[in-house]
Amino acid sequence: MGFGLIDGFILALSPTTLLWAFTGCLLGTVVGVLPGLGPAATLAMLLPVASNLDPTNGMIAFCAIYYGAMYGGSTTSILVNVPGEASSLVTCLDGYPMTKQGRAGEALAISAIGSFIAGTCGVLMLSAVAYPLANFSLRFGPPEYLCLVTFSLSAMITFSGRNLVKGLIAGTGGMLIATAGLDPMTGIDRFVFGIPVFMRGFDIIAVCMGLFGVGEVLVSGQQGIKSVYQGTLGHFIPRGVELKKGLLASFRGTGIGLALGLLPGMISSVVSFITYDVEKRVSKYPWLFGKGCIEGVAAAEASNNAVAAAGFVPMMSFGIPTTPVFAIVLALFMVHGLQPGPRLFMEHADMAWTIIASFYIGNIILLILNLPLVGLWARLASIPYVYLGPFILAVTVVGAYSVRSTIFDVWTMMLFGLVGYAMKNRDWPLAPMILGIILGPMFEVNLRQTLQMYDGTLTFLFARPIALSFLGLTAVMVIISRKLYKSTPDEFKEA
Amino acid sequence: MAIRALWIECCLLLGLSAIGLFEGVRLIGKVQVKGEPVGPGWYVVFVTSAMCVCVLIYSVKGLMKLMRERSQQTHGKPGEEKNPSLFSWGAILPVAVFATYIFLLPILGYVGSTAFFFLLALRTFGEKSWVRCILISIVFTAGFYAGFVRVAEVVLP
Repeated sequence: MGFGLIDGFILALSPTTLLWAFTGCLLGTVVGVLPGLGPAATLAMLLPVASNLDPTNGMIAFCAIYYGAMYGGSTTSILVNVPGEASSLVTCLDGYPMTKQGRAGEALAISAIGSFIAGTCGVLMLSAVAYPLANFSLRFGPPEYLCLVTFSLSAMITFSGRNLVKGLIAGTGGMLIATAGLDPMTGIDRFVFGIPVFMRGFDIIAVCMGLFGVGEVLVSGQQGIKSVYQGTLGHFIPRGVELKKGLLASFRGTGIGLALGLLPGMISSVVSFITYDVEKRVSKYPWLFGKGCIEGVAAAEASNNAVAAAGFVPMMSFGIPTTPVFAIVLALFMVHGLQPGPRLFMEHADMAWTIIASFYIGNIILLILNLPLVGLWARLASIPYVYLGPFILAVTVVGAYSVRSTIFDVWTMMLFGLVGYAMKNRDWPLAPMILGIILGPMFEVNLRQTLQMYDGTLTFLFARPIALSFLGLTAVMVIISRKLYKSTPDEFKEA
Repeated sequence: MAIRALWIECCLLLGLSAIGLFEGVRLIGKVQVKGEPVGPGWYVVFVTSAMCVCVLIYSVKGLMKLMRERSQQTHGKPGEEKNPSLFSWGAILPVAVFATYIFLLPILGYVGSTAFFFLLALRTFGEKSWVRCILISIVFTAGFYAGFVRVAEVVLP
């Protein structure tokens, strides 16, 4: 294991890899700063570009975009009270009041420091447990994978938000969409209706780009998003007691974020709120929260970055995505023909450890990017959507076409863009649908193999304790996540 | 408005479910895989049935909610929050411009159709000056061509 990580560091520090990590961090920060463009939409749009790169570099850039966006998302929350992405909503509560008090620099600094602490702790956890967990999964057969996928699909319940039925329809709809094309086990065509191009099925990339990218542009254009920052930053590093309070809150936020981030469906916006709530409860002066309290900013930012880092553990060890963003990261693995889990660590050990090592480096790059360049990010937040909207649409066209060089995929993207737009308009959650599309084929293959092994009965549950424990965990997870979700105010529930 | 949106939603979803059930039943009748209890058809029927049940629950719940709101309104009480429509007229133009772009892509080629798209899209999204539209569309198209075709070597029509 030690050799693997050191080997990974040597490769991650090579100029090309370093350049991709830097590019990813930079792009991620830009994405985080720009309101109306979330990490899921950006990753979906850039999936084809990343799939053209060498797998290691593509993966590093891709992951860097994600945690870069988590870092950058706080900037607009603090400066203009507009969250760059949903998980930064809680940061607005104390970040913006700090800006109004002329303490924007302090808020931005503590958010960058908190993010750095969370990112670093998350990567340490990933390095320590990803490989042993991947090894543990060697004991898994189709029944265990079936129950593990069921456990991950339980995230649909959390992603459903206010309307469970809507989420379940979207999720099963996603699973149905994934069945179009050739059956993975028999090669028989489904939903082809005699049209040859349908045999390829819907391309995951085109569907993701449509649902998130095109849908988001249409909704943002309709809402007329435009924000210009015109305030002052004040001094940067918080001093004395303020710094100490911020650091302690960052560590508490990191702990909560890392623990909850391992569970499927624990989206960072919900975890941020839970952390904020805990921080307020343990505080000696809870009445200051919401009025520019440094702990509020530190805890919220640390927890949403910890969730981002923790999600890589089930993703790298079992190939199980806990959030829509990880579902898109998993899609990139699939595009390269790679399966995260034990085989990744055995057959592509260099790649797995280089990716993990690049997370350490990425965290340092992000700290460097976020602290001194904060003025630049503030200015970037003022780019009008008039230019951004057409730009994003043009990127999605390139992305959808480039994967299989067929205009059918571009029309598919357009169709799912309209679906995404209509779903957002009618307050339907998109995340369960993506989860269904990504995990549907895994669920189908493992279900059919398991039933083949046990003559169509469910007796495997008595012979397979690991599988049974995953099902037990699924039940516990559904109950806990619904309870946590119900206790979260509506405005923090967006996926 | 709300009842129409709900009606369209339910019809679309039930239509999709019907297609799924039809395809699943067709496959069950056509494909018999020896030793496999859940063939390609049964799985489709299983997923579609689950979706169908949820759609029916959603339809009934939605209708009951709307009826409750109506009865509250007739009794002079304020109704609950209104459901937004599926599609806003404001989105028609951007969607039309985008669809035209995709249609023209194989006909005009990447550069021509992209320049044309930017020109129209910038206007649609709210840029008022034609000169700025032309300049920005040229710059964006050149940037896209250089970045994707030349540097990233992406094959485009």
